[in-house]
Amino acid sequence: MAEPTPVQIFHTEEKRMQYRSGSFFLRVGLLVLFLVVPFLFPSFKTVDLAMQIIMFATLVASFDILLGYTGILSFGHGMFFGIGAYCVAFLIGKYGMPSYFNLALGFITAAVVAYALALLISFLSLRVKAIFFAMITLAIAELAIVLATKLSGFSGGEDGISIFMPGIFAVSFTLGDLMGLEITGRVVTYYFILLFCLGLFLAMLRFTHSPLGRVLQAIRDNTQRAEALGYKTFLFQAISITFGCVVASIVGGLYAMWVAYVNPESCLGVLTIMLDVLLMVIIGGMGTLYGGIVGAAFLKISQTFLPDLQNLAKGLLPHAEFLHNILERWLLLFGILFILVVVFFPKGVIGSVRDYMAGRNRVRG
Amino acid sequence: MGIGFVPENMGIFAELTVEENMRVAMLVEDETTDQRLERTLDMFADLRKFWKAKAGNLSGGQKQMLAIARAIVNETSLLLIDEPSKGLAPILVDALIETINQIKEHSVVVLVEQNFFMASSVGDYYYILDDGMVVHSGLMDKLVLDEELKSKYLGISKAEE
Amino acid sequence: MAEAMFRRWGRELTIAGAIVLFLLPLIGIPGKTYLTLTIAGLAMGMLVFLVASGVSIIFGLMDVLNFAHGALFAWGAYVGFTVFKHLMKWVEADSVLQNLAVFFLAIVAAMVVVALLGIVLERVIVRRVYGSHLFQILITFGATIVLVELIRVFWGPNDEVMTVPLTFYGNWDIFDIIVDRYRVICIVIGLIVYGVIQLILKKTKLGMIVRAGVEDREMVQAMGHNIFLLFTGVFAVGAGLAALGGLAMSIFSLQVYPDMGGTYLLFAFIVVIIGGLGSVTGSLVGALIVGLAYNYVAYLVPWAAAGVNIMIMIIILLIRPTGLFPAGK
Repeated sequence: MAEPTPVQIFHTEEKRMQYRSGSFFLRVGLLVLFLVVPFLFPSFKTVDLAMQIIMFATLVASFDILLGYTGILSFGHGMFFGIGAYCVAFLIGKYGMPSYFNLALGFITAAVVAYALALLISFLSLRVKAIFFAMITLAIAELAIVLATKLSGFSGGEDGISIFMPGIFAVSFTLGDLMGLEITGRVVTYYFILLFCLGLFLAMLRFTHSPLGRVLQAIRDNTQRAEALGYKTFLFQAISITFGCVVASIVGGLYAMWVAYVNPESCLGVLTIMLDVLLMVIIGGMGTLYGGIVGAAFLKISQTFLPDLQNLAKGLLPHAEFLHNILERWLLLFGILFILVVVFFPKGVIGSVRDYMAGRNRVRG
Repeated sequence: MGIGFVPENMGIFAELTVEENMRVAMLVEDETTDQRLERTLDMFADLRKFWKAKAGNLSGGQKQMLAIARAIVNETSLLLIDEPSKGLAPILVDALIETINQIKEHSVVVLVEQNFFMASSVGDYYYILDDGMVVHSGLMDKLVLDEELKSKYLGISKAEE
Repeated sequence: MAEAMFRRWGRELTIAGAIVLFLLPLIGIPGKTYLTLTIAGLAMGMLVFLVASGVSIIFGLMDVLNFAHGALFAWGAYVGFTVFKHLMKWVEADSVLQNLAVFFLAIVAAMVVVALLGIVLERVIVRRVYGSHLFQILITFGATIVLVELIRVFWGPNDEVMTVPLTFYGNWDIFDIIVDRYRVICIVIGLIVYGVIQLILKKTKLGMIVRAGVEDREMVQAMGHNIFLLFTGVFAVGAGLAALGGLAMSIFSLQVYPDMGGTYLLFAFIVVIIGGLGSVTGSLVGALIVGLAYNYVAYLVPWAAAGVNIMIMIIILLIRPTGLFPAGK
């Protein structure tokens, strides 16, 4: 075998170093945390919070592939999430029996529908300027909600669909005790979704760190130049969009598994899902998949404790009616937060941290 | 402000008429500016002829005239002109040279040109730029006679002139 | 060959095609209903035009996409609603003079308040994101949420009933055709606004500068004009127009509710795509197409009404992405 070249040596060293760096430990630590949550904090509220963070983190990361890595803003991401949720709900609930086969089929259907729809959307919309693309996706997303509500015979309408999980995921299932925790269907579902999301997240990481991902970033930064270099930007953008949307739909399916209920408002709603995703990706940091975790954690935790915050404010200042009014309108607060973050903090948490670290490393030389 | 600017692509508003182009250029509209407009139009007869025509329908040379007219209609002490001869037929370049020589009487003109013939017909001083830095400057009369400098920076050999 | 012909006559062909399409329903619908629908469509189109024209010019001149326009629309309606509430006597009076007076007051109040809102919006928020479409969308999206929520804070979250001034209500009987009074009023308002805008754009110096700026923003700035003042001004005017649209719309539909801006914003964007950015005439034509299409389809195939305009938009995007009247950008 030939002598390893300096570049090869550098790469192997880099890989080895990666496993010793601080951020690696941080990520592993986070994973461990999610793994033990059901054991340490078995209350439903906490486990639910953790689960929501995990799912939304993955969803936001898939959105980040479009926004941060390819530079495309699509308001339709929530719709893909909803489609995934509905597909699973249809196959296990409305149009089929709860069974493993149907569950799997549900996910496959979700992926296929998302794939087709994403292709359609990219074909139609990539021809136009970015802003029109955003508008079109918004229009289509709203259309989806209208259809889901109006075609109630097909979709269960505003009332939505309740579903029951098959076999080991069922609420009634139990495996007995393990280290003080009763392994119910809920717990099984938790770990299933956790592992699934982990897999999706790793796939997305792989995607962005691959040569394909690099090309995407080039396209994002300077589309014309990428074209001049010979890359068919349309093709790459389409691949990126389909990938992100398919992942989103799968997360939607997982969401349906956890919440066991789908309806247009909660799964497709622009102000419900899409706004949350936008907030999370901006706060967490665009173009950094991990930003999704930070953003999701921040937002979900805030949303959980907001009622407590409101009560606290009421307790401290019982006569400030106007303040109470404003706090009640939590959407207003999030809107203001959103604007502030976009204006002053556009790189988000992870982005700013990365900038800071890069600056430090440069100084160290 | 007193600075007039004629960009490389002329920057005329194609959808507006010649009249509108001129009026947009005039920052103030009163008696004195009206007089200036008259004098400017005297210099560019074509513009008067096509007063109501859409600027986009003018020929290349006329557009260039319009662009310059716009820049001088105000009281300018400094006029910046960027490669005005680009894409113009030689006979139009001659007209351009005459125009700029007239303008020189009232304002300082900074002309960026690749066409040495034009530059030398109009310029009093020269500055040669290479890679963003001024590498040589001086009196135009001297440059015209300096064969070595011309071939080194401008790629002009004796045969071409 | 067909391609070349289409490129040259595209606009005329499209309009001709649209006219033919719009006459088609006459086959399936009785003449009187057709006329009623047409007037309804034109009225709705005019209202959308009011919003769309603002968006179109703002984008044409400033290269800014204002998602918050819908919220401004809603604010206009609510301010008008408040004016009506305080002057309810005039609204309910059976006097054309009083009705017109309170209507006029409501319009002025709505336009002024929202124009001010627009100025604040432009200077504080939009100015920071010139040049980046992505951030413009994000930030104006956030602004929309804030503005709509503020409506909920100031006026409460419920739908409110909007009263129609008495003499505006009801129908006129013209040659045995029932014509809704208010719809005609809307059409008249739209035409007046269009006329005034065109007048300003074509005949005044300010209008020339705006048109020049739509073509080449930097050149106008290089000529010494204060382009930022122009931006703020145009933004304010666009906001005022949206307010007018919102007020007119609320009387049209007899209600105000916080989210009313959403649907109309979508229509406005569709209109801007169809009509072309930066062109007021384009907005008018596009808006009328959208209004008419919506009403005809709503009558013939109700559930497709929402989707038909999206279809039109998609078709235009495929065959002529710059819109019917592109403004040279």
